[in-house]
Amino acid sequence: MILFRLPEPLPRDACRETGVLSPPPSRGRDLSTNGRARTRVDDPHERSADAALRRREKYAAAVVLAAAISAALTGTVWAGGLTGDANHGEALYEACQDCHSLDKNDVGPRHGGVFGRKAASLPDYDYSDALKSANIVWNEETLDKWLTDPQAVAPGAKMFFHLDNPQDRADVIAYLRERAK
Amino acid sequence: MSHDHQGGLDRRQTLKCMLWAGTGVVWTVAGGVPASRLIGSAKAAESSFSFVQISDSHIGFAKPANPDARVTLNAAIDKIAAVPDKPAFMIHTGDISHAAKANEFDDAQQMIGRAKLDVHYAPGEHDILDPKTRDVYFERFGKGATGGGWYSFDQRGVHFVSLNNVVDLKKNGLGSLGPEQLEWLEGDLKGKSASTPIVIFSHIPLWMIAPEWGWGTEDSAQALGYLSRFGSVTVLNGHIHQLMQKVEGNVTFHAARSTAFPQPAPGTAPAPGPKLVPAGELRKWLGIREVVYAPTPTNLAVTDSDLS
Repeated sequence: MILFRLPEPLPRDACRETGVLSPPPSRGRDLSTNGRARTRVDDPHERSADAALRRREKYAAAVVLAAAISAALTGTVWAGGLTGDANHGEALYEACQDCHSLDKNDVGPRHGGVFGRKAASLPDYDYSDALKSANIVWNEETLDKWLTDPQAVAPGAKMFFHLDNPQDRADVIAYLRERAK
Repeated sequence: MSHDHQGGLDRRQTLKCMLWAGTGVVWTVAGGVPASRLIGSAKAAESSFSFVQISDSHIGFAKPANPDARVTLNAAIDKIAAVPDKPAFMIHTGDISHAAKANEFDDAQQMIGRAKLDVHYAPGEHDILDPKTRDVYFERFGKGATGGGWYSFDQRGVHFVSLNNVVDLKKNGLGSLGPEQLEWLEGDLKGKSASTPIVIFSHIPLWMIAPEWGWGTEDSAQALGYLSRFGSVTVLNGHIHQLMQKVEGNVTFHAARSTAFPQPAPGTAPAPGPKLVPAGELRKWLGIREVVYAPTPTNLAVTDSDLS
């Protein structure tokens, strides 16, 4: 399942000026607040006129839909329900370099172009039989499962490296998608 | 903290320096009890003999954490060649190469050969990636080993055992010895006097350092059971690219540093892997900088086991 990142909510002052309500707080980790939950503050002015509220809600829904489409087009995604931070993913990728690089096969296959690629499809890398028969295409969902426990996805695969933190996985996946071209 | 003042390091300071700073380790066997000191020590220990351990040279690795692992292995070999009292031999506790390629092994052997020492190897998981590279490894490094790559030898009353725990990796990459090797080990130790000093070496640590990172050996307890009757057992490993020690009864475990790149300490990073150190500091972390250490019984990892 691919989910799309919602746009950051506008500041309250901006909401007042535009009449757009902030979307409800996300259940996922909010990177902009370091995981701290945001608290909505009721504004008596926004409850005073039902008609105005309905107009605002319709407009807000339209904004959210437009933002979701925009996110899809610009490739901002999340994996496992979390938004990936490609910059942090790049830092985490240092550990992956025990076996991988973007441009050359190493202990593991090269990662350039991995996103959207069929697993075990590089002709110049000697894959395990387990991965050859796994019939996987690398996307947010399959990479998230793979990075959680590669041996659960393809028992007998060469890789044992895993990332336990879902946010770390989302960040590495964002890095691979956006920068491992 | 300064690393270069003469003889003034207390135990805590020394271990702190050793965490990343050294290169090879000289092991000195005196009275049947191995003790270690950093290569470059200003004072040579009086001993029956000594040997050298290097580990995780990863020849072929050329990434930001170390743009050329050959340079740092060469630096380690220079230090070994400069040891005043020539060691009896060297052990390499695995990951000689980075990707088990013939040219990587060629380069490693050429560099290690400059030390002019007999070398006893234990394979790392980077040396044996699959059945094809396993066969190549055994052909090149398996002289005197069994079909599974394990073997033993004796040096002046000390019994050395090289184990292979990298072929059948378990959950999270944990090492394993397997029933055939365990059976061989039991037989190899049978008949040896309990006072025989034993040195076991393998790539992956034989004690559980961080099972979630695969830093341990799944069936090592059985091997350690065979060793429990011996008065002095020293276990030497690599794999984790950092110095770590543990004493359990008469068994002392030591994990060695890499000559190629450091790895994070367990619990300090999301995953194991090459650790990027600040630009210009790599040689300091890998041991180009010399740490002067005057060996005394309290200064380093010394096993005071009863040999009676």
